[in-house]
This record gives sequence, structure tokens and C-alpha cells, in this order.
Amino acid sequence: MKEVSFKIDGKTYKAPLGENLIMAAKRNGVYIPTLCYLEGHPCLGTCRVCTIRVNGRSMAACTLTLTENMQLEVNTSELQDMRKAIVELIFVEGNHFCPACEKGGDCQLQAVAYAMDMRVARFHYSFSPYRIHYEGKNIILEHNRCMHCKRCTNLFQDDQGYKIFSFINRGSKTRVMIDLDREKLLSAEKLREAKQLCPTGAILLQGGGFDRAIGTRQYDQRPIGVIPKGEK
Amino acid sequence: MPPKRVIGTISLAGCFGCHMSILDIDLKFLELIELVEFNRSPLTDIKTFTKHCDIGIIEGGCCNDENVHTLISFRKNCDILVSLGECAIMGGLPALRNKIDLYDCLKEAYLNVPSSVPGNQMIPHHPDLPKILDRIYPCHEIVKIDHFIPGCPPCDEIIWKSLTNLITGKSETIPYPFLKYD
Amino acid sequence: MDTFLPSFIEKLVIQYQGDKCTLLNMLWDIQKHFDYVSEEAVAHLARNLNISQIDLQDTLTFYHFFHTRPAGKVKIYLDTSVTAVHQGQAQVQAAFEKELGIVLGEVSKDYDIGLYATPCIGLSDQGPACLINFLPFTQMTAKRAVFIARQLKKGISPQKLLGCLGRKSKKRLRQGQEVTNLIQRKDFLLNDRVAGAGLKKAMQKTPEDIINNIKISGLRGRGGAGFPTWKKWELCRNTESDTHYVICNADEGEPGTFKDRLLLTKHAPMLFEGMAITGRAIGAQEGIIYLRAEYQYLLPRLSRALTIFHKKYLFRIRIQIGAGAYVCGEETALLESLEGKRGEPRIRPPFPVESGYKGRPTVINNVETFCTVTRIMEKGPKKFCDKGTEQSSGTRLFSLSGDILKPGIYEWPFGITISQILTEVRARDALALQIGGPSGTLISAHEKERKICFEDLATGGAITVFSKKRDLLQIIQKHMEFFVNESCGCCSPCRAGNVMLLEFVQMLKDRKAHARNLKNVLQWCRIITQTSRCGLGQTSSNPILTALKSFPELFHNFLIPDPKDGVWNFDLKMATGKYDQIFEKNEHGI
Repeated sequence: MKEVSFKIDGKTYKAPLGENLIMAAKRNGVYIPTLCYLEGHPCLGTCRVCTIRVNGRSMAACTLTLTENMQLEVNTSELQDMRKAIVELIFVEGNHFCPACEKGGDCQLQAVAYAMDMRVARFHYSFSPYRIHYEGKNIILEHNRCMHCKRCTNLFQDDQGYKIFSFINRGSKTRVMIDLDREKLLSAEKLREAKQLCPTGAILLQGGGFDRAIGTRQYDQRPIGVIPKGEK
Repeated sequence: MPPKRVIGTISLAGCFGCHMSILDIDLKFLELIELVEFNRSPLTDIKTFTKHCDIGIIEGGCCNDENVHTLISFRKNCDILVSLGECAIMGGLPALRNKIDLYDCLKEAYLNVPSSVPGNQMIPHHPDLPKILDRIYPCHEIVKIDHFIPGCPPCDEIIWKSLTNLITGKSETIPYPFLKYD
Repeated sequence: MDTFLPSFIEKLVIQYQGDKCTLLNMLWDIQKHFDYVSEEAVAHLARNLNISQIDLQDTLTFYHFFHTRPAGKVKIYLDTSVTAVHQGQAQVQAAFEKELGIVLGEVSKDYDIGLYATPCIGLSDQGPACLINFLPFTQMTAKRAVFIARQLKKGISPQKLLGCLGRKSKKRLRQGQEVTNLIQRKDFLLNDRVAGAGLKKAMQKTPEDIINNIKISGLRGRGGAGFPTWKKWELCRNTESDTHYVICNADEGEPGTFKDRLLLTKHAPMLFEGMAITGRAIGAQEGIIYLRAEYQYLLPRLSRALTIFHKKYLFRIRIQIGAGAYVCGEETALLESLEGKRGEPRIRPPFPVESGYKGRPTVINNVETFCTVTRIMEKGPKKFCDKGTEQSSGTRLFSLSGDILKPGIYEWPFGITISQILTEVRARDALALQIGGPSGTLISAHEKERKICFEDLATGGAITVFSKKRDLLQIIQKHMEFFVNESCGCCSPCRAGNVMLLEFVQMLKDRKAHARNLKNVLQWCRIITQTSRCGLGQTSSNPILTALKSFPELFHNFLIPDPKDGVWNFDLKMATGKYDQIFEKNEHGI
């Protein structure tokens, strides 16, 4: 693949032409926070946490691929604040009671918030009444924690290729729903995949809550986005 | 030696866990009392302000009118207010009731609860009892809060680092594992 | 017709060849026969299409005209846009509610009649209006509502009530003339047209010449964004593919706009010609018109015109009915909807000109753009660009409504000033003008020298005039409510951010907002504008931002100054109100 050069905050880097911007930046040790984007999957462009400036225009980094001589602004204080604001917005829109959440320490929303040093949300905590859907045989949907990233609706299918998760309604009433008939038939492996796909604790499995000790979880010791040396 | 800074602390709708976490700084407490003196605080059992404070530390959000009055009095008597812990910052666990109607909540707690005595059920209500608010309010929705220390409870390290930063005017960064919401 | 659900659906799926892209049509057919789309219907349809039920719910629940619960044999949709409210929508609503014994959003079980709210239905010049089983009823009054409700209760079909003002009233609108298209001023586009001339001339030209002609004319898209039409066509033409598509965006959803209604009613052949010309220019043989559900009463008329067109020309056009979603006016959301999915805007790039309908290069233009193309071909580009301003050539249609004596459709050249407009439409006591609907600009009537053109005030064609007796904050609030309801919900800044903005406007109205709140809100507006996925979120802050620019005092008079001691004005009485209420009647609170 042809390598092209591009700039991030004034410094020149190189990456393969056509590579996703988040990956191109990561390859060069620059972390662009994101919540919906999952490496190796089609981009979703829903959370907008990866907003950067591309040739002066603000865009979601995950939706773009690298072209020659791209000028990216990633870590200006304005953009950092903008991204932090979106994370705060996601926090107040749902009811994210981290102290009572099974996913604490493994949650990407929480980890990104830590990385941004979020202490409090600038928005009004809405405390909207969301339901918890226990109806599934295997899956619990905790709507309080759903951030509508669409990972589960767009990137997950059962073994026969049917959609299990979908959005219903629209606007602020948008919710994720499961297909109760097909959810029953999911294999244990598929269920684990669904749970791991969710960046927050919205998809939980019946009978399996706290499965790892606090302190040993993914983001307990090492922040999200820190790229260890030698691992590119 | 510079004059000691004055600190006030209070627990509103919290569980005192954050205060316990303050005590968790253990031996550093000896260092701390070299730098500060405590005024109004459950630690000193001083119930009303006897002097103006530099720093006020608030644990818990506001669940009743008394909490609101206390918080306002802290704002008026302290230069800097710090929200300590998730409850003060966003309501915390008490705020789980924010999605439930107040009457349903009280009914469940006092009338329909299995331990209530049949024929003698009532929701406690007396002019001397504080009035319960329609929902839990984070402290910064009622008064201006200057600093936020998250955690449930915040660990001793983040409390110690934040406090010494405030007292000495330094700005030491808080190492990653100590900033937690849980 | 089969009234047995399983076999009805089986036949339906065979009729549509099991094509999931036609899902909207299937759902419409089910709703028309069974009044709503039941869970049972979803189960059967999903099985027949071999998709999961939830996959189907995905599309079904997105559109507000699809009902998933019993919704009544007769469905009344009241226009609740700002203009309708000013025209007396509340009285009409109250009359319906009283007569039917229900409140808005409910179904009368006794009579099987449902009453619903819907945003602007494209009849602001003759409102308050409503749709009854998608037939338009205009110039509604409380009296007329009572009359109509009583007739409906007797089981008289809405079709028969068209044009009836009331039992006693001798006055009767001509059958089918509920909707009048008041043309107040004609110019380049609407002046006497020679049918077929535009297309005939285009057929004699090479595709490159056609594109070049449009380039000379300087025509920019009439939907509002103003992208140069020729550029869109050229990009599409240059994308290699076995098939290209021409799509007409007839999802005129911006509150206060209704000029496409005129074109679709009176000038459908002009639109078809324009689409065929575009087809020739980009190498497409097929066109689709995405017609908003609110305009489906125009379908019989359009179909007739289309049959005549198809007899003469080879270019094939079909019409797809939407199902109620403002966001589907966004071109990529429209494409999703055409493919039978939720109307969520796509990620761009790729742009529709590269990969549009079914992944093929597609040109999507507004109804008016296509009509203008026909006239440019007919009269030549020079005559067109003689009018207008440097960057906004030609004339365009405007939908004028609000507090004016002469509402209707005006064709003006670009560059017309606010003062000219106010005089021509005979505005009374004008206070403000909403240019281009809620997503456009609110300006003061004093800004007389400002011009309508892409250089100054860009617009999709709607201009609503508000007089001094109107409450601007209420208007802003209604507009923000509109965006909260119409956001597709897929990106966080727009879905959650607009709720925050609406909350602020409500606080402001209740005189509870502080100076610091306004400062924060301005920052939030910037964030929502810059980070949202599509045009909806990128413009949804405009009601607040533009009002603040033109009417700063409106905000500052309502704001509470920030208290110096850091004690916010917390409303303790309100917060303890619920508690006091519990013990009001009974001291034990039981």
C-alpha cells in the first residue's frame, strides 16, 4: 500500500493511503478518542467523540480515510473541549451511575472520560426514566447506560445472519431493542461477543454480572489510548 | 509559618463514605493538621461555623430542604467549595430515586414495606422533620462549586493530592489509577 | 381484498417480489387495510421477508405516520406548526377533542377515530389545516371541526366532507378545492410554458452541452444548501456505473414551505421533463420521486400526469411515498428511506453522486430545481442568469405565510430585499421574519436592506412573517421542539444536545435562566453545530443563535443576573411542592 504523508497539529507523519484516520493517527502514536468506532469494522459515525479538524473543517475522524497532505488538528484546546463536551452530554443523557455498574473499569465511555479528566458534566443531569429490559432469556438491556453507538445494531448478527439488535423510535426517544425470539437461540460465544461489543454496560448477560475483580479490569491501571512502546 | 487554613466539611445526602475516605489518608493526617484546622465538620463535631473557612468540603447531594440550607450556609461561609464524591457531583446512588415519583417512593418505603405495622402505617411527617425534595439535586445546581473530586468514594490519594494542591497552590497531576467514578 | 392478515401479507410480499427496498410501501398497504401495523403483522411480514422482527421494527417505528397500536379507521392529523398555532390551531384541536371525547394522541374507541399532532403539512398559507386520512382540510375553525367530527362520527367518509364548511353554511368550497394554490407573482419559472419544449431542446444537445448550459445559468440547488447543480451532475456523470439514478426530493418538510406543493399540483409535467433532462445529462434511464406522506393526496393527479408522460417519453419515473420524517429531506437519509430503512443520514463520503441509491451514482435535486432546469433548457441559460445576483442567479419560488394579507407563492429574483417583501405581501405590524424555516434565520423586520440570496440570507424558500403580537420565545421553543422530535437520533450531539437547548428555552420562558446559562448555551450551540452528523444538527441551533443576533433584548430581558455570592436562585418551594402536596389532604400521607 502506498504511504502518504499528512500532518497532525503541525507535525508530519506517514501512513498508508486510504487508511482510517483514527488508525493512521494511532499508528503514529496519536490517540483520537472514540466510542463507536471499532477497529476492523465499518465505521458508524454516531458518537462524534472523534471530532477533529480536517483541512479546517470539523469532521468525525472515524468517517474519513487518509489522502495525501491532509492537515489534521487533533489536540487543540478547543477540539479537546468539544470532544469532552460530547462525552459529558452522553453522561447526562443516560443515567450513568458508575458506582453501581457491573462494567466499571471495563467501560469505554468511562475510560474515555477518565482520559479527558472529566470531573462533572457541564450539562444538566437529566435523570430520564429509562426501562431495564429483563425480558430476554439471555440478555438484559440496561437502557440507562445505552449511548446509542449502534455497534450492536450494525455490527452484530446471529449465526444465521439475522439482526438481533435494532433501534426503535427516533429523536430523543430512540432506544435499542432486541429480538426476543432470536435472542433465545444465541450461543454462549455469540452472547459474549454481544456483551463485549457494547462500549458501556448496556448489554449484560443474565446471571453474569461482576465477572472480574475490580482492580484487574481493562482500564483500571492503564488508560485507554495509551499505545505501549513497540506496539504499533 | 503561614497561618493555618480553615476547613469545613459536611455530609448531606451521602453515606459518610467520603468522610471515611478522608480518614483513610492515615498518617498523612498528621501532616494535614500542621497545615489546616477544622471548623464546622462531623470530624470536630462543631455544628455551626465559628469562623470563616477557606475550604468547604461537601459530601452528598441535596435530598431535603435542610440539605439546601446547609449547603447555602457553606457557600456563604467558605471561599472555596469542593464537591467530594459522586453523590455531591451527580446525585449518586440516592439519585436512583430521581426516576421515581416521590409519592411512589415514600409509599414503597413506609406504607407497602413488609415491616410496616398494619393499621399503623404512616409516612413520617412533622414540622421538625426536613421536607423531602422532589428529587436529589447535585450540589452545583444549587450553589457555585469550585472543584470536583469524583469517586465512590474518592480514594485517599486523590483526596490528599487535591487538598494539598488547594492548600499549597501547587498543581500536581493526579496519577491515572486514582481518578475513578466508582 | 383479503382481510385475513397472514394471507394478505403473503400476497403483499409476492406482489412486491420480496424486495426489502419496498418496505415502506408494504407497511403502508398493511396500515391502509388494518388501520395499524400490529405485532402480528410484523411477525408475519418478517417471516415472509426472512428478516428478524426487530429488523422490521427498526424501519416501522422511525416514521411517525406508521402506527403500531390501534390508531382508528379515521386518522386526523392536526398541523401543529407555529404558523398553525398562530392561526388558531388550539381552538380547532379543542373542538375535535371535545366532540370526540379524547385528547390529542388518543383514539376514540366508540367511533374508531384517532387524533394526532404532526409538524407542518405544507398548508401554512391556508391554515390551520389538518389531514384526515391524508386528505387535506384547510381553513379550519372550531365550528368546522365540530361539523366534521360529527359527520365522521356518523360514519361519513372524509372524502365526502372535502369542501364542506358546515351544515348551515351555504358556502361550499368547490369539490377537491380544499387546497388553493395562490400564485401572487410569476416570473421566469411560472410564466407561460411551452409543454415539452425544454426536454425537446435538451434531446438535441449532448449531455456535456446540457451540463454546460446549466453551468452558464449558474443554477444552484433549491433545497436550501445551494450546491451548484451542474457540478453535482458532472460528478455523477463522471462516476462509472452500469446504472445511474435521478431522484427528486419532494419531501418538502421545512415548516412554512409549500411551494413544491404548487409545482407538484400544477406543473408535474415540468418536473418530469426536468428529471428526464437530468437523466440525459448524467446517463440515467430511471427516476424516482420521493413524495412526502403529507402530500399523498396529490398521488392520483401525479400518477395520471405520469401515465401521459410515459406515453411520450422513454425516461421511467416512479413515485415513492414517505411516511413522516423531516430528516428524510436530507438527501442521504432520503436514500436510506427509499431503500426501505430508517431515515438516518449516511456517512459522507461517499457522496450520493458516487454511491447513492442502491450504491449507484445518483443525482438528488429538489422539485423546484428540476422544474427550473426545464425552463432553462426551454428559454436558454442567459435569460435565467440575467436575473438575480452574482452568486445567486435567477428567480426562485417563495412560500409566504404568517401575519400578512397576501399569503401564497411568490416568484422573485434573488436579491430581493426584506423591505420589498414586506410591502408586496402586505405585512401588518411586522416584528420578525423567519427566513427558511426553523433551520434558517430569524431576522428583525427592521433589517430592511437585507437580501434574500446565498450571499446574505440563504433559504429553502419559506418566509414566515410574525407580527408584534407574537411571542418570539414561544416561536423559538416550538422550533426547538420540532428539532428534538425530528432528530433521527443516531448521533449524540443532535439527539441529546437539542434536548439541552430546548430545556434552556423553557427555562428562559419561565424566567429561570441565568446569564451564565446563556453563555454556556452559546458554547453548546457551537458544539452541536460543528459535531453533528448531518444538516439537521448542524442547523438546529439556528432558532436560538439567529434570534439572539436580531433580538438580543429578548434574551437579556428574561435572564436573571448571576448572583455574586454564588448561591444560585434555587426554587426550593417548587422542589418541596410535591412533598407538601402529599400531606395537604391527609397528614399521614396515605
